[in-house]
Amino acid sequence: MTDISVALENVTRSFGAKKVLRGVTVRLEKGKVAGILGRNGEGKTTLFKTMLDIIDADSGRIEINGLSPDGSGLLRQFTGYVPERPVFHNFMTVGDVFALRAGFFKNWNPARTGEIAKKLSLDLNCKIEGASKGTLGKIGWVCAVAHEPSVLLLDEPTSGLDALVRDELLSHMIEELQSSGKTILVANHRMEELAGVLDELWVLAGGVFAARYDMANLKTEARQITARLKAGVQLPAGTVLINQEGPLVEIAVFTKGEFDKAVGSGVLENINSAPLPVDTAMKMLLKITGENNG
Amino acid sequence: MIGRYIKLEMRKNRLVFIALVSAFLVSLLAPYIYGSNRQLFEPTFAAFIFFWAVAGLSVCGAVLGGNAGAGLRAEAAENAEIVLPISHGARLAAAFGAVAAHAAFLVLLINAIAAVIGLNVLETTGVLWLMYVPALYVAAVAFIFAYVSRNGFLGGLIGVVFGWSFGLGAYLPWYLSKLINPFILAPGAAAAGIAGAVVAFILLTKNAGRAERAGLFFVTTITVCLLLGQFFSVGYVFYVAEKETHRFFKAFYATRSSIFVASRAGDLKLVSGLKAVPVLEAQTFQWSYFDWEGGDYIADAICDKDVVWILRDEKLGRRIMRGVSGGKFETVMTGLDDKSIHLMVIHGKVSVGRRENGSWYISPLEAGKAFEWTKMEINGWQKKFLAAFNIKPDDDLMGVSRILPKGRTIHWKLPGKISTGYYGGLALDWISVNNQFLIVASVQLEKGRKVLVFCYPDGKVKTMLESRALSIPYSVSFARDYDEHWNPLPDAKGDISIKYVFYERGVILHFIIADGQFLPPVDVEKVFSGKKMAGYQRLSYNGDGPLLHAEGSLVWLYMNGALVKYNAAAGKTEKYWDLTAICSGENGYFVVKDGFYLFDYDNGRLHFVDWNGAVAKVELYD
Repeated sequence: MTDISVALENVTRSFGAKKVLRGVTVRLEKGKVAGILGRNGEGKTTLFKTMLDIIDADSGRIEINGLSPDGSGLLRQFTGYVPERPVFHNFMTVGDVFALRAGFFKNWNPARTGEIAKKLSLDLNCKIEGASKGTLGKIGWVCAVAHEPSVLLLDEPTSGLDALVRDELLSHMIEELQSSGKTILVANHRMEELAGVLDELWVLAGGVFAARYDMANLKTEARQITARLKAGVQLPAGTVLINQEGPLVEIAVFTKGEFDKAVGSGVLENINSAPLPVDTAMKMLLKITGENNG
Repeated sequence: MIGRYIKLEMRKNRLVFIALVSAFLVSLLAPYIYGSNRQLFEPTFAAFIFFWAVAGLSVCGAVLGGNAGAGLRAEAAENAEIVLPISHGARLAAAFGAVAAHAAFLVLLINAIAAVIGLNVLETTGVLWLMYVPALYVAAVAFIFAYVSRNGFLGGLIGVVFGWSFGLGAYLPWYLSKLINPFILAPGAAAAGIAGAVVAFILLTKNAGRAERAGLFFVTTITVCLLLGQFFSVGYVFYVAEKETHRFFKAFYATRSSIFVASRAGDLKLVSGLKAVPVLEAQTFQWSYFDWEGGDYIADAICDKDVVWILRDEKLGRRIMRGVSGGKFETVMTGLDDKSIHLMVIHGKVSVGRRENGSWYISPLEAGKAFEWTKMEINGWQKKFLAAFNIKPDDDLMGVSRILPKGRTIHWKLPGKISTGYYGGLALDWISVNNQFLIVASVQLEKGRKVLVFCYPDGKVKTMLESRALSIPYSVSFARDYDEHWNPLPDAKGDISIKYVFYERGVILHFIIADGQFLPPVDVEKVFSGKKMAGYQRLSYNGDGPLLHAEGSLVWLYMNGALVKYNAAAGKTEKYWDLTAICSGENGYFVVKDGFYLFDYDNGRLHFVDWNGAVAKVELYD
């Protein structure tokens, strides 16, 4: 029997007339890492805040390690969160921020805090006011993990950071992800940066998870097809057009089933195929998201 | 955990709080522009304290509430705090708890400084509550609206508007009672509060997240609580005001052994022995409950046989009423202005005296007739005794003459001008010592010095007790004429007989026992040194002086809760009674035949104390 860590069932959330989440349903096993792919405005942050009990769902059920959002904030004791833009009180120092959190989180690990801060070259006496984005990002990361959460929600954790800081964080994240066995959901526009550690990839489009891929399969089964499209016919279903010049088309497929279906559809001639690099596959998936949403 | 959050909120609002405390403390320096002029300094200081207690605290509440409410929704706070494992409701409550704590600190600070300075204005029961509730109310409204609008200024502004409507309804009704009925305003403010809650509801339910819904819950709860609190506060204010009103009593002599006690509630009682008999009942409700500057209350009363005359101070003017104890009182005369001091006197017949531009005017009281004011001469109050003994001061007051019964005139040239007193009387009196009739005068010398002058029948004058501030003799003719009830030296008996007492600077008593012979001077401050005092340990007597009574060389001295039987001849204390248990900082006394009535104004109590120090309570109200 699999141990489900995160379970969402028909979660909906609207803001006025705008329906952001239209029935999100998904399950994630304990210790797995899932990437959420979606374009801006698709509701990734809303989904995270709903899961964190910061905003409540209009309907549906959320369960994270047996706890459901109830407004008490208890769920956040066991869930780590790196927001897109970490913000802290300006009047504090880095050390003050950690001390504040330590007072609220029961499992706050001061030794671990010091260890990570050191690894990330964080100066505890550095004032928040005037701190760089990179420093804030690092602090956000420490705050997310120092209380030993069993589930981590990472919302664009490298957004706005320069390459050096991003690498520094990602190298730490990767290490963290690989070693801790925590359940992790991460939303990132540069998902390819995390491709190596993802177990699953979820595509959020139109307020629902439109597709869900096993990363291991995606890496081996995603293919790029070059072929001649017969006159007067449509592209086979499940394919994404990468490029077209006259009848010559480049298309992408993400599963073996889709590949077989495209090849056997009879609308393509002179078919050549090659593995689709994962970064390109993700871009294509993001493209689908936009088209579906549009 | 909520405690940690309160601490965080207090830290977040620390700068604003420090600014408010600083503003308060700096504002207290303003009265120092008057330097050593205590006459201006103290009331100015009191005014500043009062301003802060009444208006400043409300504004502080608005600033604190607005700042905290908006701060909770500021981006930094939202992102930094929203991920903490604490419910939004708790977060809101903690934020407001920090505001409440800061407001409480301000209230305590203002009270502490007022107490240190010894201002009476804040010493009344329940004043902390009366200061705190409106400040908290304003803070809560500001907090709520700032939270909803994410705008501290807007929230604060609305808080002030609501707060002042609350103030109109409950906190400051006595200032407005002449114009507006607070019972109308209180529900008005409550209706506004409900409207505010509805607006908040609409705003919050629109696109509401959990934080907003928690805010909605908080808003609804706090609004309901505040409205309830407001109604309770209104009731409490009225309750306190009524209680205070009955405590604010004043007394007048009725007879040699009884006094009238009048409260702000408009009632009058005749206290004789330990019984308080209603003369005039209070009305069920009066604006005077709140009108501390003046309202419908009895300003003076006087007894003429069985008839009681009342000078009643009303908003629409002063009136004089007449009646018998427990019976119906009728208005006899109206039309007294409220700019002058009025006193009722027996001047041959029942009369009313009016002080205006340093002079006294007197008019007999006759029903249905207009006032006929007669200006009293400078020696007006002494006229009776001066005429009786054919004494006449010189026009320049540098001498005094007396025509003896046989027609011979004696003229005494004085070393200076006769002092004049507040009531228009001269510091001129007579005493009889060893069967000699002596005229006594307090005479002004150069540079403010004064000297006591005895004028002997042989035309000689003798000076003694030179002092910078020699008081006029005790029973000046004003007192003889107006108020014959009290004489501290009524029936002096024994080997030593104190004939007269003279006050030097109000604290050194000189007792004359024979022609030119004094007992050793009694320094009242030394007598009371180390004695327990009521209130703030200050030497004060809210009566006519520390001397209550004398028998032989024994004198009974009273000062602020301490009664001392002192042997003036031996210069030692015979007995000391600590009366601080029955009186507080604001106390006063009225001496009657067998003892004195001790008023505890702070607690509305009245006790009778006899010359053996026995205390008995007089029940003024059931």
